[in-house]
Order: sequence, then structure tokens, then C-alpha cells
Amino acid sequence: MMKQLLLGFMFIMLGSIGLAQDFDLYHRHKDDAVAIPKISNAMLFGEYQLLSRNIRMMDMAYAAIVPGYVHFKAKENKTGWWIVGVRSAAFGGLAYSLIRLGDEGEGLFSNLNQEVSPKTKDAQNIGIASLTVVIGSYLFDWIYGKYTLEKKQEMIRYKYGFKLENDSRLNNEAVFDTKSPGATYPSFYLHFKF
Amino acid sequence: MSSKILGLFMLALTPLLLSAQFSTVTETAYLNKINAIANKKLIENNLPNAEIHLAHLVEMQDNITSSQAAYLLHGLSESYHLTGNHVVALQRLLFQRLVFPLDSLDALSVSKFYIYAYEAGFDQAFASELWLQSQQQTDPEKALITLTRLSIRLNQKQLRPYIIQLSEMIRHNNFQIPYWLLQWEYFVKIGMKEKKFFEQLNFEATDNKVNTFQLETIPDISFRKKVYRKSISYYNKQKARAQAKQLLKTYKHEKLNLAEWFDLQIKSLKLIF
Repeated sequence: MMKQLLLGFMFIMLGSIGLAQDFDLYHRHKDDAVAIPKISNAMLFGEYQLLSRNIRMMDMAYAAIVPGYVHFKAKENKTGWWIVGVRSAAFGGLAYSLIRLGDEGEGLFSNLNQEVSPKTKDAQNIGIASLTVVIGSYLFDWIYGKYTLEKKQEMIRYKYGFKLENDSRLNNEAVFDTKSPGATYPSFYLHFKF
Repeated sequence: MSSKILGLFMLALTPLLLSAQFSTVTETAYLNKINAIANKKLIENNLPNAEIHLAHLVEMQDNITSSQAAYLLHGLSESYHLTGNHVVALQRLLFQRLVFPLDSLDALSVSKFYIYAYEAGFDQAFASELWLQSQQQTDPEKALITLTRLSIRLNQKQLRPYIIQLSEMIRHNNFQIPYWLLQWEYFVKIGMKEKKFFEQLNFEATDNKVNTFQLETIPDISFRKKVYRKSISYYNKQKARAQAKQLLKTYKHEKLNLAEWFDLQIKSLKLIF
């Protein structure tokens, strides 16, 4: 009985993961794409885009397939294109190494501690170096891209936070300054919602 | 109890207040704060906002006090300086001195003005000339024209958008457009570089009757032919074939050497296909 219950529970868990569109650790509303946000008049479109972007678990997978994906998402196109170039070169090196090793019936990591022909050794060195660049560029894209996006978001929040607060303070002073001509006097209304 | 009611009022009013554009005082306060921190990234991030705000101010000149705009421009100029755009910093300081003059800022500006000028690559003689020519002017038309002339004399490609902004201000205020500005606009439009046309600008010309640039009046024959060629290519690229054909017709009457004649044939063929 216990075994059946556990199996049933596991089936429900796996089913819900299988149906999910992203590996979300936090709850996400279904109408995220429909909700229209309130935007400050002074906010630029590029800033809004940066603020509404987050690096999620799925982006980790995308970044493995598309070189520079995280940097492009953080609007760091120059670095993004550098990553595209470096990783393409590394893939080229890896392909060259695997073709040469294939011709000689060797693998990338086979007989690493044993005597092999200089040609094989060279091909293995090129292959391992290329693989390191592929993995390194992926990690750089993922970690530094995320850091850059968060830094940019901080700057935008700091800027509008300061301005909104300052303006609201100034306006409140003006509104309640009854000595100034054309001052607005406080009023009160009730609003019922059924 | 009264403070609670006041709090309720504030809460009701807040969304209305937040929906408005930021005030000039706020923009200036923020500029001063980030300039003091001297965080380059933070300053660069705010430059478009400050420029947009300045454009709003210029558009609605009647609704603001000159001193608010003067302090904003002063802060903006320092922001450009801190991000390494010394020529733009100098141009923004000239803008403040001529369009939004403020005596109390002059004492603060003078040393900065010379530092920006030196860092932009100008010598003391030129910097002093700029400082003297940007003295307070009572006539707004004269002030705007002087600012445009000085901005063009700084002779930098990166100032193009700022000069275009000034020419729009001149048109917006229905002021007489000087002929050298028409020349500058035309040369920039057809894609000529500053160093190629700067010597040809006639800052002394005072013909108030001309409202459009007249290509055929360029006295230097070799330069005139160059402008013809650039203009034909420009209009051809823009698919303005009628205008390109018209220019080609006039260009044919110039004395052309063999290379120019071949170039003319290629341009004629390009217009057909």
C-alpha cells in the first residue's frame, strides 16, 4: 500500500514537472505576459527591457546552445559577439582534432598517460584546449552575463528610485504649501468596490 | 489622528504625482549626486534621461526659470566631462552661458571651461575666444546663433546631433537661419566629413534673403564638383532620382577631367538601373 502511494506521489510530481514550461523554483503567474506594467514616464524602452529580464534556469540551457546568449539578453552585444567568435573558433578546433584523431583510431582522452605519436598528441592537445575554451566561454557567458544584467538593473532601480522619491517629496511640499498661489487643498473621497 | 488623515491624503495623491515627468530640480539633484560619486557607468546610464529632460525644457522655455535650466546644464556638462566627452562638456557649458545665463554660475564655470577646452585639444587662445564670445547676450536670437556658430567651430563630428538640435531651435523660434548653417546642414546631410568642408563655411556671410543652400554658388571649383558628386550619390541612394537627375544635368556643364567624366558616366548608368 505504502509502495503504491509513493509511486502515485512520484507520478504526480513527475507529471507536473513534465507539463511545466520552465524549471521554476518560484511560483509564476500564468498571466505574466498579459499584465500591463505601470512604467515611469521618463523610463526608456531599453531600460524597461533590462528590468523585465531575468536569467532563469532555461536560459542556462539556451546559453549552452547559443553562444553569448546571456550577454545578448543583458544588452551587451559587443561581448556577446566576442563569445560567438571565440566559441565558433573553439568548435572549429574541436572538430579538426576529432577528425584527425578519428583517422588515427584514437579518442580525445584515450591513452593520455601513454606514449602516442606526436601527431596524435598534437590533435589531443588542440582538442582539449578547444573543449576548455568552449566550457570556459559558456561559464563566462553565464556567470559574467548574469552579473552584468543585475548590475544594470541595480543602476536603473537606483536612478528611478532616487528621482521618484525626490519628486514625490517636492510635490508633497508644494501641494501642502497653502501660502503659495494656486496651491491644492487636501480633499477626501471614499471608494467602494463590490 | 490628524497625521493619519494626512497620510491617507498622501496615499491617494501619490499615484497622480508619480505619473508626472520628473522635475528639473530632481534631475539636477540626481546629476549632482552621481557626479559627486563619479561612478562612470551610473553617469552614462543617466545621460539620455538628462538630455531628454533638457529637450523638454528647451521646448517649453516659458514654463521654467532660467536658473533651473542653467544648473541642469552645468551638471550635465560635468557628467560629460567625467565620462570623457570633453567636447560635448564644453558645448553644454557654452549652451548654458548663452541660452540660460546665470551670473552666479560664471565664477564656478570659468576654471571648468578652460579645463574642458584644454582636454578637448584646444589651446588657450581659442579657449579664451570661446569664453569671450559666449558672454551673456540680451538678444535671444543672437545668443542662439552665436551658440550654433561656436558649436560648429569646435569642428567635431560627435557634436552633429547637438548642432541639429540648435538648428531646430532656431527654426522653432522663427529666427533667421544664417547661410553658413544652411551650408553645414547640407554638407552633413550628403555625408561629407567636417575636415573636408570646414574651411568652406563662410561665417562672415550675412545674406538674409537666401533660405536654401545653393550648390552652384560655391566659389571653389574643385570643392563644388566634389559636392556635386556627393550630392548625386546621396540622392541616388535615397531613391530621389528626379533630384539626382537634375543635379547630374547641372554637373555636366562643369569642366570635367577624364576621371570625373568616367565617374559621371557611372553615375548616369546607376540612375538608369
